[in-house]
Amino acid sequence: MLRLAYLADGHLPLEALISLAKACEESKYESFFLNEGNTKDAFATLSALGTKTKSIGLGTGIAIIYSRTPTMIAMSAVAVDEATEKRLILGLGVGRGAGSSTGFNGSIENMYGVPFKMPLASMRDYINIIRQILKGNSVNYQGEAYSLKEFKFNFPSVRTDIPIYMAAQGPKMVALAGEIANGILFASVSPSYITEIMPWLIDGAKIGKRDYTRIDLGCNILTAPGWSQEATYRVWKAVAQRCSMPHYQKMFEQLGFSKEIKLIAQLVNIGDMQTAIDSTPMELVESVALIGDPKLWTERLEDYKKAGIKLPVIRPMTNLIESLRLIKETSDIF
Amino acid sequence: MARTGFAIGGQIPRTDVIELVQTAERRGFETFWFTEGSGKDALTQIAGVGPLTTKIKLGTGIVIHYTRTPSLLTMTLITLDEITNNRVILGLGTGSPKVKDNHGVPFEKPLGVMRDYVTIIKSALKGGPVSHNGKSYSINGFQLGFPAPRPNAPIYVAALNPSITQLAGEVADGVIFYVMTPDAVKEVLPYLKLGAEKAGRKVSDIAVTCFILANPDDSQEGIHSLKLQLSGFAASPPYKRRLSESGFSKEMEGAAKALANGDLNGAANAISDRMAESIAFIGDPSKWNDLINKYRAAGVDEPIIFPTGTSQQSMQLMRKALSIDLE
Repeated sequence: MLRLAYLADGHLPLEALISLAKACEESKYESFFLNEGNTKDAFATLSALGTKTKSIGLGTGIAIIYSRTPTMIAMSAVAVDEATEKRLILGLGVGRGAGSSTGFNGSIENMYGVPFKMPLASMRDYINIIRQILKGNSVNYQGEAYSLKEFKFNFPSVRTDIPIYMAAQGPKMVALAGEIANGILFASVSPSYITEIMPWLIDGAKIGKRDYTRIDLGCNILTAPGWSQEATYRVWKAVAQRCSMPHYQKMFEQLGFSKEIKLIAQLVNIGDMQTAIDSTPMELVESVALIGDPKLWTERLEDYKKAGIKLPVIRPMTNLIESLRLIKETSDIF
Repeated sequence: MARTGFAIGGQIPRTDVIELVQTAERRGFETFWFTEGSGKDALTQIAGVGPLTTKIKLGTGIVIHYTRTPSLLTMTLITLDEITNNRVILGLGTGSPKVKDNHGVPFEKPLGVMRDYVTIIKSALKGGPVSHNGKSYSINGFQLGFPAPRPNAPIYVAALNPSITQLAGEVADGVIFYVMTPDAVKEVLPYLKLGAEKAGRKVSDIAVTCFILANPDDSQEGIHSLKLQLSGFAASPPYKRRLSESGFSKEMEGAAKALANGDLNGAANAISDRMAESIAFIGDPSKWNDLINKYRAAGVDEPIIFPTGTSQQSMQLMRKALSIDLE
């Protein structure tokens, strides 16, 4: 059986999220991730979903570290892990700083009112601190970005080794994940991008003296079945938006779309979204998304698998009814 | 039945939490409060019991504002309102300088940060993009991606002294007192009014709550355990000041000295019976209504019973505390 996970958007009503999580569980999905952004608190929502499901893994996909202190994330993780009977997957990311913010929901500075400080060092400190707190010892930690002194958690964690997945895209973050994380969550990248970045993961694992094959590699893939107009429109829009983001631009250039993305980025930046969407060719969308007939997706997922992805995470960008239909279909196909 | 709350610590196993909150709901308690400290996330715990209750309000008592950003707190508040069908109260406190050691963030401008947080959260709940350029905290264009089920979801502020009580009067929907005698409540409440008037609000619209420690075990051991807990406040400057100003300076000095020498017994023994009895519920819950009524007479709308005790018997003691027949 193919390992498969689902990523839902936090702007959906709770009842919709409950239906989706239950449907994924019935269709034998391995896990259900929730993004957070500017919508719902993912930890709180997962706790509620825990009371409505029995076995499916429940993950933050992802929580932005700067929104909470490292201690707080540990305290939240333990509460969710207890409420879900050890089903939490702790997905963490750094988000985007003001320097790179384009179009999306804003930068860490603007949205949260905190500095986007030392993303690599902060992520390292967060993960180290969270792991130590979960072990239940008195924590004395001196990090480059965060330090703790004699903090002792007063509730024994139900699981001291809650898996921590890192959102990573660029080489340094991928290397850090190789060094310290239990898994990676890539977002909207092509199989060839993963192949190219893999040496960084292996190097990072070497530094951490770990076996890189034991690091779980997940990738969120924008998903739009051909029969869903809404999903198709939204996936096209999401890809067009990514054409204006530096990280993705590099990837699309390497895939041979330099000319196209230049134009699309210009259109996005002047706010002409519709023309940007119309100017985004199918081949470009297809390089990072699942579109068209779901029956043909097994082949595409095979490409991801060959590149090293162990856990594809589909992200259907559509309404509840169509999403439920897709969950059913994918479980029949895979 | 007069409005009464019940509170628990952040270290209680979930099965026990579920039993306690469901019992409190059945027995007619108005609110169930989750403290956090160095235990489980109070807000996530509320999410976990929300679907298992129907009426009782669920509050945080309290979460320290520094631990989360105001944008996130807004997101959490709407998440919980949706899960609980609008039964949530967000109780915020400033914490103490310990926040540096415990959370790795500086304890700077606690009051200013509180003012900015409450202002930002209240304005973000309304749904539009929020830009707030505060003296202590600023955000630029945060907007909720999900509409708030209740744009006026209540925010309470924890207060120990006049200045933060006044701030609560200015900006919050309620105030949460802790380790205050009924007399101390009476002394501080005019500042709530002052703050409310300054902001053009009615003080009667602001809920006054007070956490009151309780130990249903009045054996020598039980009283000792309560006194030990009270003596711990001598180690925290804001609490020490509060209690010293409430007429217990001798107790606080004695406890502080003993604690500095690592003498826990000595610290507990420095706490007088007079102090314990005027600030906490002791012994059989049937005897607690006297003190509850003193708090109500002092102006507390919602006294909150906060049981303490040694860990082995704490569940038993909390069950006993919940058995109180409220007047």
